[in-house]
Amino acid sequence: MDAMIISFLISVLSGMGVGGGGLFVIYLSVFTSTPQLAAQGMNLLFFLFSSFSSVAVQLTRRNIRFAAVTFMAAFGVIGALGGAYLTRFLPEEYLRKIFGIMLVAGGILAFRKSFPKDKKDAGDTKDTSSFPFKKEK
Amino acid sequence: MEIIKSQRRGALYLAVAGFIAGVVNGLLGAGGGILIISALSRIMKDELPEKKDVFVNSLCVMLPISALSCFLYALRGDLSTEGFGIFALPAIAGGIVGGLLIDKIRSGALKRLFAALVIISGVLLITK
Repeated sequence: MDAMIISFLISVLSGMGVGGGGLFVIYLSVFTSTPQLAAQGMNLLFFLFSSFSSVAVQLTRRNIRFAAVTFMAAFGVIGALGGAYLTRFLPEEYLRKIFGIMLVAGGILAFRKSFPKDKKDAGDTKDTSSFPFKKEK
Repeated sequence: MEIIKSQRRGALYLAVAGFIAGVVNGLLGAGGGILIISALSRIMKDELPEKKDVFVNSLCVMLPISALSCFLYALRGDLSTEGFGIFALPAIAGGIVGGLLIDKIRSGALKRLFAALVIISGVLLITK
């Protein structure tokens, strides 16, 4: 029962885009003693379930830029091939420590971003975007 | 000319962020999303002025990347689905609730709580 509640709460955070994937790995490796690599594999599957259902309910309600999404994902899958290949050469202990460092760095970044920015640019309507796939108006 | 240069830089930024997010996701089985959020916020601030839209777009980028990483882990035998059943339904339900709550909650405090939790967890893993 605890496992179900914990996975539900982590999934809510993940579905809100706050994050949460890392927490599921922590839960598996600390509370269920799952080896690091197996925890990472299970976390990927967990993320697929939680993020797919979140995207499904938001698909028609939010502004999704499919060109940018496809563009970034295309480079992302190439990176994922490289990253998954690298796991062959790194002992699980190193992976765990790298994972820990990533969490600390990500946590600090998320903490900084959680505070609202100065509104010094408010009212400036100039197009400051360098986004390459603009929609025709 | 300046616009084209700026757009090229924007495309390069998105490509590099996507690539690094992919490497992180493949290597660590999580993460990468924050890089996508950061890149989208910077390059597409006019197209996606709302943070919530940035989050959803980031999830959309990370879905195919995670699907491939998951497939590669399974191929190598590092994905055990034994015992996963107990997590599957809460994961789906939580994802739906999270997707619906994204409109309702001002998440500054929640994000700070999450960040603190993540930092403590990271230190635990490093020192374990």
